[in-house]
Amino acid sequence: MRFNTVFPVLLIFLGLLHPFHPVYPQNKSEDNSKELQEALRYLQDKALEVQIHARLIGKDDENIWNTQSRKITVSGKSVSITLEGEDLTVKAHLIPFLNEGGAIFLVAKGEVWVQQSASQEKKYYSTVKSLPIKPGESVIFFPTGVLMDTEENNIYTIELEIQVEPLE
Amino acid sequence: MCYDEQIISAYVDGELEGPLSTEVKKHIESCRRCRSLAAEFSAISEVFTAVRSADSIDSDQRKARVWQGIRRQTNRETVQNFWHRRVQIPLPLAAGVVIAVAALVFTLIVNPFSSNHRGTPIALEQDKAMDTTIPAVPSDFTSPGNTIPELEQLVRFLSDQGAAIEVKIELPSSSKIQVSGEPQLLRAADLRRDEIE
Amino acid sequence: MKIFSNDPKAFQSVYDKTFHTIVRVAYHITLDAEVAEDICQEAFIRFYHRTIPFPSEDQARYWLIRVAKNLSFNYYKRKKREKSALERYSYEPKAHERNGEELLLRSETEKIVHRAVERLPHSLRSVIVLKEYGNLSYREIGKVLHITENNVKVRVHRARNMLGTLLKEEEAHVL
Repeated sequence: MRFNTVFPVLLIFLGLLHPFHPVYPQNKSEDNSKELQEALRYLQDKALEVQIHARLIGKDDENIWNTQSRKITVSGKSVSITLEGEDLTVKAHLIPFLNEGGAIFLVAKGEVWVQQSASQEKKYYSTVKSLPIKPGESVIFFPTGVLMDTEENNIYTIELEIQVEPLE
Repeated sequence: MCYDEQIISAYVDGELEGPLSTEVKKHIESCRRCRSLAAEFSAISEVFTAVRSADSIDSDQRKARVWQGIRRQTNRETVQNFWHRRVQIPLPLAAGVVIAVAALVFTLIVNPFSSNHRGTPIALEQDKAMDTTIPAVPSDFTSPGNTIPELEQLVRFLSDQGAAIEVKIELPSSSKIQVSGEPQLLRAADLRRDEIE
Repeated sequence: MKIFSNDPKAFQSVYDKTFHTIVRVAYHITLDAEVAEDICQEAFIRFYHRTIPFPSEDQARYWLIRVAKNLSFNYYKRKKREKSALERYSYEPKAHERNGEELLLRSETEKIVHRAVERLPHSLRSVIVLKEYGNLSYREIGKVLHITENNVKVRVHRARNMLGTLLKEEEAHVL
């Protein structure tokens, strides 16, 4: 990976700085239940709900297929969506960061493995995008790019509509 | 036979194609009901035409003012933004920074909530067999707004040593996906297909 | 020909062809001239930042109108939530102009029309605003809203039927 801007470098530092998730001690006795409460409350403050609507979009923005999922994560922990097709695998890694003010910063990494035809070798693409977002605001990630105008029918693009909110 | 009201409405807007438009026009001339309908639709449209011609919102001064505002904003943004500047970090400096950060991380991972393991990096706990039984959440912890299933899900994934939460979706067979151009992350408001309800 | 929004010539051309439409649409949804200007500015700045080229100038225009419409309705909904029910039915559109320009004079009929349009369901209101204030064709409205021309025709007709009733209720002398 080329680091040609400050921002990805800073993200990596932030990732390193992010405290490891505290694992509650094994064999917790009742004497430690208060610590457990504190731990769980700490986690809950950092917890985020990620809603994902995955769609296949065809010509003229036709909605061919869709599915949705809801996952709970914490600030800095990735939600990874793998979409398996016949000749293609797409992985979208969504990492939401929550700051103390309640603002959310979303990092989306897309990885695509595609084999356009049997005679061609498998190609790999990867990119990282990021955006500050408001809680509940819809953002759309196109891991395979935006569908360009095409005369062909039955050509689709993948669209992931994402909403991130603090878990309440 | 009378035409559908939608056709009359489209005729009033000049949206019908030549032959059909001529036929509808002929019909309206001889049909009182359709003529009255066309007049009603026309009158409503004319009210808006009057409103449009009365307002001065679309003035040259306003157009110039907005243009200046756009130029000011976009000129400001072409000034190099620190966060997106190209940076070359000399290797020794980079190594020094990484070591410093690693030291900071080492101190941070001391878990303040784990009195039994004070001073022990949690990462080293991986080798121990983990008790994955979720303990009962103390009853005085559950307060309005905390749903136990979600807390369990949260705690469960923390026990999981996996790097990320996984969602696996199988695409419909025979879907030809176009891989074109750079992946994009955009606000839905910029792309909204259906109207906002 | 693809349109790259950060190409100055392309940007100017789209601005000249689209400004009048989106400022009217924004104004007649928000009823605030200053807000309409801000929305126009925001829409064009977003256009400037868009990295995906548009297949044609028309597509760029439709995209801009859609963004401006969405921003306007967002503002309108936010304001509606803030206003009390009493204020909603006795509002005065904020027509005050900056830089000492004349206050817009609004006739009683215009206020009645605005109130009637406000009472339309959202899906019909969008179509009527784009058609009657934006002066767009059915085809253009379909492109902006991503619906078929036939759907536009149906919605325009329904909106007119409702407006006929609403305007009579608002005691406007339309007929």
